[in-house]
Amino acid sequence: RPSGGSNSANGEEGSEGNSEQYTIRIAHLVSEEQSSHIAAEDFKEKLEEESDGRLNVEIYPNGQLFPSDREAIEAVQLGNVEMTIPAIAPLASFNSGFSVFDLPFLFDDYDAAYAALDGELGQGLLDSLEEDGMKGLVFGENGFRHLSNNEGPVESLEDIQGLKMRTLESSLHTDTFKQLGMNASPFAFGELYTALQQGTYDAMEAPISLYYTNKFYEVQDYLTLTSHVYQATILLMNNDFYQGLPKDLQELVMEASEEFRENQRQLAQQQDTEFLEDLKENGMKVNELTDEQRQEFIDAVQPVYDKYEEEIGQDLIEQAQSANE
Amino acid sequence: MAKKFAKFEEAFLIFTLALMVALIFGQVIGRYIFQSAPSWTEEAARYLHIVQVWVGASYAVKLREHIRVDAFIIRLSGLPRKLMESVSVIIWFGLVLFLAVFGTQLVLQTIQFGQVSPAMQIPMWIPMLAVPLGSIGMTIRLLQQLRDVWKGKYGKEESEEIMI
Amino acid sequence: MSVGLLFGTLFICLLIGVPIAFSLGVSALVAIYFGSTLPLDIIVQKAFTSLDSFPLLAIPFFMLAGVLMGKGGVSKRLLDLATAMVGWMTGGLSMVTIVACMFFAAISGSGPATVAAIGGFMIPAMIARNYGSGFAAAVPAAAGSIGVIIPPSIPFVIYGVTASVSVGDMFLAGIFPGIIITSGLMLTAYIIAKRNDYKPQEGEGATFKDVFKALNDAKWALLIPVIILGGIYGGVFSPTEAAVVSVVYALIIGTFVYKELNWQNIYEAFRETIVINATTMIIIGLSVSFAYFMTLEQIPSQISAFLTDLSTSPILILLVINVLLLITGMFIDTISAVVILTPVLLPVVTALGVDPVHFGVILVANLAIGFVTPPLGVNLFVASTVGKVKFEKIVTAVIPFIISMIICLLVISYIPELSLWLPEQSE
Ligand code: NA
Ligand code: NA
Repeated sequence: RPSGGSNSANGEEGSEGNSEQYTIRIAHLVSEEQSSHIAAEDFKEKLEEESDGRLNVEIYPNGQLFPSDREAIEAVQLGNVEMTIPAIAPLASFNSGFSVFDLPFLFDDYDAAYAALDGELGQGLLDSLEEDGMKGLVFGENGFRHLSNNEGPVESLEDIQGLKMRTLESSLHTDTFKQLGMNASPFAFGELYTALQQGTYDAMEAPISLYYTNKFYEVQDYLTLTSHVYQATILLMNNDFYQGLPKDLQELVMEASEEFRENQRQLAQQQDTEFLEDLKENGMKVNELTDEQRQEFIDAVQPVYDKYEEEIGQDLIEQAQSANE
Repeated sequence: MAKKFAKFEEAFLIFTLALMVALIFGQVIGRYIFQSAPSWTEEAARYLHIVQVWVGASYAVKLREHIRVDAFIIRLSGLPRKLMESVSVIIWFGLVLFLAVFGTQLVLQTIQFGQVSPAMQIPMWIPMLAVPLGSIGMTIRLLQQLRDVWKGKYGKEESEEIMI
Repeated sequence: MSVGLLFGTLFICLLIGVPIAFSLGVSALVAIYFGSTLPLDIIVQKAFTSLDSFPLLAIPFFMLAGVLMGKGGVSKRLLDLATAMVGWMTGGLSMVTIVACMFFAAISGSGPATVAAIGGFMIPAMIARNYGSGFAAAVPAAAGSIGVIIPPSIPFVIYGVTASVSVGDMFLAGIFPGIIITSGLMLTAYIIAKRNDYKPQEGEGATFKDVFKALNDAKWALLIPVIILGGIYGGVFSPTEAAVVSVVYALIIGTFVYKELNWQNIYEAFRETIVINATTMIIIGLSVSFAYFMTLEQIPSQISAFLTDLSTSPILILLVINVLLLITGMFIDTISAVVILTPVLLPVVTALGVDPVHFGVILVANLAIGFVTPPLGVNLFVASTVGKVKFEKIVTAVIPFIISMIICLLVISYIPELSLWLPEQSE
């Protein structure tokens, strides 16, 4: 068996310990055209070049190694793969602190989200991942999640009463849409397109990029920019692997991660604008909510805050909300 | 004792299969009749199914129902057949022993990290237990099968014949 | 080198009779341990997560529904209907068998289950009427393959999950190819029956009244495909939910309408299902590690590069793939073949412009032929057991049917519309 652990397969171990080679395998879910993958390619290039070949990065996109974020996070935790770039929602199963970001209408805009994630709240959560065997490097994004349906443009709660709504498999998430008066239940992602096409479900919600990359515009007529949840992603590494890297490589990884964050967010926003135009061109009717209309939704979901306040922790919620100011 | 256990195992598997049917049927009824379906039925049914498969795999060892290519091995008889069958059982045993040990480790690690399931919020190690449990069951049954091989019994018991 | 380890170990394990699921697991274990720096935990993680999928739940449900309907008197009524419809033709009983298999395929997702349900009645009946015993067993063995082409279909569910294609689309795509294979088998049976002078059913005239009566008797059974497909395409439920609804439906008609189900055979149906389901799904639990290792070793891209170097003609590449799949189907069961080959071949064919839904049909049709090719031909085993006919006799008699299925396969491969037209209409 070739020397295991973090050594690479082609390990030409020199006499000086610091010429040791490390292989970083990044397994993620999104397609090659999506911003996270493009930014990951730059991440790879920087690490390989600036480490003089001591770091070797392999990227496995499209869920080819792990078909779900949950499975990929677990693999990073167990050391079965070195890195992944999941959405943070499934991370809440591993570290409940992250469920604060599932709360509806938590952030008013990008600036608030960035302030919270890149500030004290985000750093505290990243640090807390070490106890779970993971090193949280930086937060990227999938952007704001929006609501779509096949009945008509949504301008008030009345427009969505009783619609069959597909939700993520999380009670907080499902409760949110039940509070809004929808017939909400989780449904397997793989069958969602057909279910919307056939009318098994009327409505769904997702970030803009997902509507585009998975062609949901073909089966959903109306998109309402509710921005009800800001969906961050996270650059996640196995903690033992990170701690086992020499200091200079750790610093290089951190530096490249920060570049990844800036790069990916910029790309993501750019893609959101482009994809939204494409959605319109493909016949989706897009409408925005006025502040007044959005307030009606915000008021309606307050019971969700009350219900989950204790579980998530009031301090975390307040810390997140204060970023809106 | 072994008979009683097998009976209990059978009843358990039948009960969980019935429960899966009830959960998913209930979900359909819920969505259409009560305009609301709980968020945990799918997850519960999925985990029950994993238990079905792994515990059922152990049950199937008892019945000698696992699918194999026996075109070559059945051409042998006497000692060569016994030896070949034994090697095959021992290799199989090696794999399930590995799964039992590493599966137990996986469960212990998951207990330590505290991962919970997304919908029901139950500890993930509980459904994960299916893999080591089924594997431990298989290790025991494969030892019995090895004994049977040396008694010259290779196939399934006549009374246990199941038509696919 | 590590690839050699992977396939070498697999071959040895299969040869000495280690069950397929565990042969796959052992070879992944050996290849990962000796040929990579990956931690072994990955096999255990995959053993759990590969089964953690909602669409896969359709499989035990469709199996259970199939077993319940077999015990609940459904097969008998479908046979009566087939008899009224085609019993008058030359080689009447073999025609009845093939058509009944097609009907049964519409409620069963499995090939072997179709053979067992129809062959159990028809093989003895044909032998009693002096049909050759090899032929009598070969007919349901071959026709049972239709079970996985006409919806519902377990391999289609697994392909849908593995390839991220809608299971519902796969189901629709299988209908015409299933009918084509049925027609091909009927034509083959007709030619053989003509040559051997196998007579039609005596006295069973095909009056309109007879057909109508049989149709009326079978109406509850015939409603099942309507519920399954209508439910899915009418937007009432997902394929998995459709499967569960057909279980409940089978319980109700078997118990209250046909009155052939009781506690005892319901219990028996559940017991059979847990065994078939476990032995089928454990293959998925262990073959995913095998496929995972291949992905890490970049085998899919190597094969893809090899095939594209070979030729740029989709027709030629599809032909090569078909030959490859037919050979695979001789040795490996359908489930592991779908799990292992989908990630390898799908990128190759999509690059050539082949639709993933169409490719799923080609893949499963190939593997359906594998049901009747030795050494591992599950349908042959089942036909041999339920018909008490020697395996070797069936193997010889089934050859013309295999040839006819291969011809149908080529038709299906090169006319994508046969598979794609129906799913397109549903949009
Ligand atoms: Na079928
Ligand atoms: Na075969």
